[in-house]
Amino acid sequence: MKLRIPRKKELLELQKKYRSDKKIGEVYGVPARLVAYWRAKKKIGAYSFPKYSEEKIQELWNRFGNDEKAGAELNISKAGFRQWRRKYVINHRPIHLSLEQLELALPDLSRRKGLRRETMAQKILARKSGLKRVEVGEAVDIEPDFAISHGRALEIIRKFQQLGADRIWDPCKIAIVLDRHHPGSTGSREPSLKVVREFVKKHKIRDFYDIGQGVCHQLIIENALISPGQLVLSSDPQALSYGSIGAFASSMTTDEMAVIWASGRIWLRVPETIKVTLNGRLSRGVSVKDIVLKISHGLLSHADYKALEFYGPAVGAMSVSERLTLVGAFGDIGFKSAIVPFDETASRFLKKLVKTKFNPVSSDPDAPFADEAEFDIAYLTPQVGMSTHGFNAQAIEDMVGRRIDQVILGCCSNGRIDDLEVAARILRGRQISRDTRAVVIPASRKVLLEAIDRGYIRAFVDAGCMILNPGCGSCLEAHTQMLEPEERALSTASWNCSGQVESAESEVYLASPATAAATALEGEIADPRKYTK
Amino acid sequence: MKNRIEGQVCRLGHDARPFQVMPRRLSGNSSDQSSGKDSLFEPTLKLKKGEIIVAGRNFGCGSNDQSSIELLKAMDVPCVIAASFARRFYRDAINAGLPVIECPEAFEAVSSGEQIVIDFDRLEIRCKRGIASFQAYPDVISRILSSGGLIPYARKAMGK
Repeated sequence: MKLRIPRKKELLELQKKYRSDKKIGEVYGVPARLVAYWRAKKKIGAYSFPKYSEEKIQELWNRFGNDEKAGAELNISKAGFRQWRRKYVINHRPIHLSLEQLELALPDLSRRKGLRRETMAQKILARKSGLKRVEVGEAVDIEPDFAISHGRALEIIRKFQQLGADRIWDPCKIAIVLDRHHPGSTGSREPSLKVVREFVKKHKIRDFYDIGQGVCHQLIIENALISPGQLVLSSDPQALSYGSIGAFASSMTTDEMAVIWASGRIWLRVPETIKVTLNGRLSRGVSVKDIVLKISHGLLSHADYKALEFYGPAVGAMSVSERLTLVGAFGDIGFKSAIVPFDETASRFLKKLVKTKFNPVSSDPDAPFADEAEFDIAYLTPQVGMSTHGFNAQAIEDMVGRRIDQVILGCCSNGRIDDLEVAARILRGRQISRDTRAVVIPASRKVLLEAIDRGYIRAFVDAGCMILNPGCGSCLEAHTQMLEPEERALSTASWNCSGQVESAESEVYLASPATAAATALEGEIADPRKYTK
Repeated sequence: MKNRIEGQVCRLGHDARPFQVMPRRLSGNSSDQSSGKDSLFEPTLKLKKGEIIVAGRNFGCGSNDQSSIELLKAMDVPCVIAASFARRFYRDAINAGLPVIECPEAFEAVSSGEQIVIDFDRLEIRCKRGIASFQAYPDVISRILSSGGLIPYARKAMGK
């Protein structure tokens, strides 16, 4: 067989592919020296590697920052490009990210698990709306894990009936707590609570708490009806309290609650989140209530539609009871939600109550927080919330000496056993001022029983306080009932409903249980630190 | 919901609270509301019937019931524009079928008493000093607004 000399084009292609004469020869089955002869005939030089200048390699490296992509540009392999970089000693990653790098980097980041950059609010709302991911500002249709309604249950029932619904979406997922009321009827001719009780029986609602059982959020937490990572909606103004164990909690109006009862679904907007870090340790005589009064004023201008997440050593050191005080008050200012992420403290608290497994959620380390705030609480002094606007707090030193007619200890935000303990320590063996009246409202029946066992109730009654039935004490009704025109009250409630109570004629100050107890003793606003030595 | 709203502006500042809009004692019982309606905006606010409210940041903060919305509806307020809204108010307004628009530019541009046009098709507010655009409502919200509120929307969804 006679061998034809391959065409020049053919030889060039093979040379590009195999580079050496020996390998080209193997293709045709001829020795390398014959290939060299052919090359000489066709005037093709021996193969030489292409030369890339240092500038060229540097430029490509800056543009791509990636051996594989830069190599592809020169038609060489990833390893090949790295060889060239080594030759010119180009080792550092490019400083400026160019467009190509961004396009390459972003999809990779989002695909990798654990780098999704989401806040707790985003994660929980995505979980409940059935979407993979939800963005801040989006409105989503969700199904809550638990829906709670308190004193306004009657209005909700009326609206539920207007909707034409005949059955409740899930009787096991709703709770009704009548915490706003005192025993006895409201005095109007129409039946009110009777309607609620009949409704509960008819629809077989399991979690119903009648008058005297306690305040809404306390009962729900005490009975562990909710768990971390859940979405909890409530028509109670203190709805945000459930954030204390790492749930996403938000408040609803009566209309919305009626729709939830009927259909089990409601819309929610995914909020922006502010990260709040609390540093330092509280000094003696100062409590979480004082932190709330102090920082809520600072956060007021950021309140619109945002969620809060609490971090820092001071939060880590708080008990669940203190966390309830911390997060409960922020709904009144306008925050959508306030969450203390689930941790060891919350876990220990809940494990005593239930045996089920939790499914907690936490924010990613680099979650997109809208804002960050940091407070040092080490030098905080006791605070007094001003009557004109509860979020305007003053240090106790400026307020000492104002006459107080009525002290309200306990109720919604500070009626738990540790709050009563603080007050009982101050009041034990002393007498309250003759010019002041004081009432104690335990947060729940369980708290009341424990306070009786520990002797706190005896200390209160000995000192001259009245004990009311466990419940809300209701900012709305009770304060107006307890105050006569031009009288002043000091309360441990979460807010003083300024503009709701006739503020022109009577005033309500807010303070911690310790300050309330000290004030009851003196009949005027007093610094609790002299009693807590 | 109308696609085009025209009206005079009543301009308010930042952090306007519902009790600035309506003193609490008048909202206590529903029976009181009708009797006090004429004097509700005295003395803090002079809002005439049918005016569009344009306000600053955190409009409606501290609100915790629907009474402020009922009042705005009673005053025939066709739309509320604000730099931002308190959550409670925003939800209540949507649920009552009252269009609310978040638009900081409009708050800067508009002054009290002037005539403005809100165009929901082109998502813009036309006033004397120019045109401010706003974002379209998310899907759920526009469905609620077009049914006239949450209750009618839910009734429709349940097939009643």
